[in-house]
Amino acid sequence: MRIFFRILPLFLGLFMFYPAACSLIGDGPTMKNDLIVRRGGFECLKIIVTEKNLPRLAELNILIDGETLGYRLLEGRHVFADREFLAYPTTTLQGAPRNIRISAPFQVLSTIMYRPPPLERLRMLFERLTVWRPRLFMWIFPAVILGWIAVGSYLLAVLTAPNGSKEKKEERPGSKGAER
Amino acid sequence: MQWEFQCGNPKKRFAKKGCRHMTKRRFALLLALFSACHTFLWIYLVPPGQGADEETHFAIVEHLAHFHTGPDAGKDFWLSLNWDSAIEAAGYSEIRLQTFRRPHYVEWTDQYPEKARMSGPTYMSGSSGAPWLYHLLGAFVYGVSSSASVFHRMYAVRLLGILFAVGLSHFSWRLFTTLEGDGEFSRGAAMCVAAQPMAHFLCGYVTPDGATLCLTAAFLYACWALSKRSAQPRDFIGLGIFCGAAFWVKPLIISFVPIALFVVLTNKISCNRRFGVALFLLTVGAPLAVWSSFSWIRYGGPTNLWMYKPDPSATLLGTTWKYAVGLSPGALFSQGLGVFGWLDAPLAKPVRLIAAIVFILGWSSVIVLALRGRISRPWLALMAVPFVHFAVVMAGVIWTSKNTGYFNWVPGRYFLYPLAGWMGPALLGWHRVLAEKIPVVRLCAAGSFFLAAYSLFWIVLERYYL
Repeated sequence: MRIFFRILPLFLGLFMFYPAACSLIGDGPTMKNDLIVRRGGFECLKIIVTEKNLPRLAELNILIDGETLGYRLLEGRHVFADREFLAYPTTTLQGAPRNIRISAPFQVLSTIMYRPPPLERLRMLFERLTVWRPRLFMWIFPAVILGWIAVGSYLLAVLTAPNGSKEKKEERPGSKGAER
Repeated sequence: MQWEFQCGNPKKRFAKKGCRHMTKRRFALLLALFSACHTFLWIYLVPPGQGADEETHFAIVEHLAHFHTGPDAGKDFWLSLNWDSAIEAAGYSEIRLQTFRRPHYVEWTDQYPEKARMSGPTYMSGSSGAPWLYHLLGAFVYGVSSSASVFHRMYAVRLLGILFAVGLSHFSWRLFTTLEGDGEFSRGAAMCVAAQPMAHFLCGYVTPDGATLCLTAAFLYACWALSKRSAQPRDFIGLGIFCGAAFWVKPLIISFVPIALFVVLTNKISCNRRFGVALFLLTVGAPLAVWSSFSWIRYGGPTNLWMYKPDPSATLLGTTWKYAVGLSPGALFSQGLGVFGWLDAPLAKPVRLIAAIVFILGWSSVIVLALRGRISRPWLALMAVPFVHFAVVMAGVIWTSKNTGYFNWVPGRYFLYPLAGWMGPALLGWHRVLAEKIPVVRLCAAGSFFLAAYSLFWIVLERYYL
């Protein structure tokens, strides 16, 4: 148990930064049928359809640079009547795609999802996380994250310190430690 | 008691060993720092206008700062042009309640004169008829940051939430200390409060809910500290003024009155009890009467809800039934635990399920222990607090609804205010059953910490930035 609480900051840090470091990033869904690939690291297409259109989902056709794309759908979240799907390409893409066309007999919300290279990801997140805010907030934000992990872990470690383990050895005159 | 016989007096045991590792002052400081950092992360990560009713509350703050009077609902309750254009530029109306949409990440500068407002009543909600004490504080901060853009001013007003969050965790810790002594349990439970995501989300945007959480924790601590000694008349005056002033922050705090009255009626007292009760009722009644008179003159009723047309055929029983059918315990629990943004960024279902199981098992244990007579009276009283609050809030909402015809949709966060009263007994249940085998309170504190991190960096970050 003690080891668990000692490695907690590391574990917590990994847990906290996982989505920022590894998740797919999109630009927000649009109703448009023509999507332009704006960044490197194209991964898949996120598609949001309403429940009543689910039976016709097989009629969805995706064209990448004019060529029909083979894809497999992975179901994501569903909120109210909306269902989210991720369409991963199954055909090998020739180079980086430039534009994507979606044709469907029903209305689809879609967005391109990227897994950008680390520097690009950092730049995107920096832009998104620093817009709107006062400059002071931007500067102290990383320090606050680290401070929160550090203070929280320290508090937990102290709470979790075996209750007076050192003192126990000193206090018990009959114990082996004291006899030595 | 059998439990005491088995493992010694817990108060003494924890008081000794807890303090051995960290002094009270140091713990209080670190707890405040932890809570402040947690709230700052919420302030930072929730985009402008994306807290429930945030734009309404901010509009009131702006109105107070610009015109030095509160908005008159339905007449001059207009958003400022700068605020309206800024939140629209950030994609406010597109992303609100649209889980899959993302904000527009564009910087915005104010384009209109500071006091320019939209040309008609643009937004109406019950909030505009509520008292303004919190908004006055916000207006002061707004005024101090007068050279900044409207977004920056909103972030400045949000910073007030750090004070409330620190107060919430500190008073909760002091409350647990009066009940269980200063040690592992009270510190672990305080840390659970300081890591509760929904409470800190409420502290992190412009709303009186954060202040209400802090005031409720302070009120509970004051009552339980008072019950440990013989009360003086000045204590009742203080308690009355506190309840009355808290009403000026959020009228739902009216649930304080029966709790405080219980303390006044059952406490050891150094004067005539009737005199004490009269003193309390007089001091609590004065601020209520001031607001009610003002509100009656301005809105023709206790709130602006009087503008609605009541259904003459509505009965108290019928309205109660309507609410009883409409309230779903599952939804209330989810909203109390963690539904962020404009109630459009909930925690994942399995996470909510695990939290519900932990919570229900903790409460079940403490109820069984209470039935077997193993829970002290102060703890029993604290266990009753959330239910008294629930009953008073529902009675108030049903009464208003019956008389005004306005169906007030009751979100789970209204019942979260006595946070220590919800979390303390649940943790005590776990602690009394398992403390000898595993460090259960520490594990719960670690779990709360992870839940907070999950809410911020998996739910909110994903919702608005990825």
